[in-house]
Amino acid sequence: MGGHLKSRTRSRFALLCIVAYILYITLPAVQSTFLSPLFPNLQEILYPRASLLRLFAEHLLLVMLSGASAFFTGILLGIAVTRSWGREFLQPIQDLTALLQTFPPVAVLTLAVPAVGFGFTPAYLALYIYSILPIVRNTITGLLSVSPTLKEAARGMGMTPLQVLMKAELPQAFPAILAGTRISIIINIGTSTIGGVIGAGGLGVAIVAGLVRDNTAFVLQGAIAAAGLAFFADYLFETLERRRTPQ
Amino acid sequence: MRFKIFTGLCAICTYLLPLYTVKPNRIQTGSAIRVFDLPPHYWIAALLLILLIILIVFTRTHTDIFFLLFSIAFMSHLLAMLTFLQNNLVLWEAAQYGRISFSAGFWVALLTIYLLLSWAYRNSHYKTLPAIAFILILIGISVFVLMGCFRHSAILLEFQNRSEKFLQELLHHISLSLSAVGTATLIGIPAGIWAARSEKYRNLIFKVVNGVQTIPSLALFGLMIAPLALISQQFPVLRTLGIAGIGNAPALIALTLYSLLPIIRNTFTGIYYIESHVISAATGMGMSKSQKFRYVELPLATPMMLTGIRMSLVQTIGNTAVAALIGAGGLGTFIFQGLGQSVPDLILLGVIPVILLSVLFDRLFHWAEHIVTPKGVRLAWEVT
Repeated sequence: MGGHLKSRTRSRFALLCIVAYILYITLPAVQSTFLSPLFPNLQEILYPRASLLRLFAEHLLLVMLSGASAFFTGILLGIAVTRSWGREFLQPIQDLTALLQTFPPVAVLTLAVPAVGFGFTPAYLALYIYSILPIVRNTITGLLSVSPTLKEAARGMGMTPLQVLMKAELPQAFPAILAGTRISIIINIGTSTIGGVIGAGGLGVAIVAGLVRDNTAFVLQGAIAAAGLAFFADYLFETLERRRTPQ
Repeated sequence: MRFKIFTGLCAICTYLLPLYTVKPNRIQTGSAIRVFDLPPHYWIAALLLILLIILIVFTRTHTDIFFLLFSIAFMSHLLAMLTFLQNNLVLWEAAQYGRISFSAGFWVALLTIYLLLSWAYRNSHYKTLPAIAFILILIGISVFVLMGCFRHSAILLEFQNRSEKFLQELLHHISLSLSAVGTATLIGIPAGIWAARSEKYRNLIFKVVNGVQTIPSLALFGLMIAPLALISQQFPVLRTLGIAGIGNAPALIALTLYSLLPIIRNTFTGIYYIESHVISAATGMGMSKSQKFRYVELPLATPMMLTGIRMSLVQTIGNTAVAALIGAGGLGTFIFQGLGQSVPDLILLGVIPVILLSVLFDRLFHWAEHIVTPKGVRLAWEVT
């Protein structure tokens, strides 16, 4: 009973935060009333080139597109290397992803510029490749931890290999896959903030402009929005994970 | 078999893609060089190598040794082509200020060599062979560098223009990362032990450090600026100590905050999940609380703690590159300068050392983890 009540106040608090965040993102008036008392000496409080809402939309688009494509690729790759015909690739893929994960995300993002150039596409590609890694690794871990007896039982019921995969293995591996996706998305949100430097737009644009022009208000304007986005994504995944985990 | 075919296809791809780009100078876009753009004996050699890899893939014996030999031949061929380009830059109207950058084919070639060596390592009876091949390749590359094979390569030119600054920023990068992780270790290990002991504060500690980890690095650096600028305005004494809104101070604080989570989490896990019968046995031997901590819990948890420190360090080396944006220096300086001037090779001069540093420290700590794992625990792992 107590836990139930606590979770209700928790979700109410979260709802309140989300409403406040949406107001902050959409209304420049809210941003300036919040920021102007902090910076009485500054002429310009808000980043003038683009509205925060626009930057936010660019940021979200980049994260969602790269995250969604990495989600599907990662799961497919994870499934492929755990089938009998792909087993040969299991160890190499695990080694390679482990190695690539030690590469800093910033490095992968900025490497995309010599390879592809400036703009949205290189940022998308870099984020896509980097976010495949945790998803593949967790999909593999999840699928390998499914007990052989369960698979045997599913086969014994007359399921085809595809049915065994869809009805027995993937549901069992899903919590692990979800955890991997959570890591990916959080890293993605952080890395795409730096995407402002390589011309991919997003909330990083305001932060970098503030740093270059020595205007801390722009920095704060963008930083609050980026931090808030990361918090909400994290909260969303936490709620999802709690729902999916069997009691 | 499928994996061998895949590796072979990667090798073939190398020759289909552009390997190098020749530019007349720093600014102009260059022309892509495929193997077929070179004199016949280079592409005949390429055809022979392709034939060779197909043969190796489909033979059943001694693939490991053939793979090693092939990777050496493959690397030599790439470097020979590079040398030819260096000496004949005139052919591409790029003589004195000409520079050569690596293109897609070259990176695929590196991937191929990685695949060849890792396959050989996994399947060879002689575990030292791939290591020897790796060392041979490294020696080969350094010989080529000394012979001036890379003297027109663009990264090296960028390096020569600022070799002093490069070393300075490299050292600065390492020291900034290490001091952030060092501070985080000093805070994180006690905090992790505290979290393992006190149920009351465990949730709070993890909520806070998890929250910090969620914030994008650039945003956290940005959030540090305003309060620090304010503090240093209020107390001029601090400014003389170098504490200001931008520069090292906010970077160090933000990097330290970032490094906390893996260290605290792993220390907690290491101490909290020691099996209870181990503790009971220690109690049964008459150990006091502090003895149990000193002789049982700490040694068992140390590998886990080191893993945490390794994860922090790898992550911090990357984040330190971002810290260049708030004026903290480090290798990120070159990356963002390169982005600002749109000089891809300057970006690479920053990015490649950052990647090498992370991989190097990662390997170093893996090794250290292996060393400090108590013998009994290692044996128990090997059994399971």
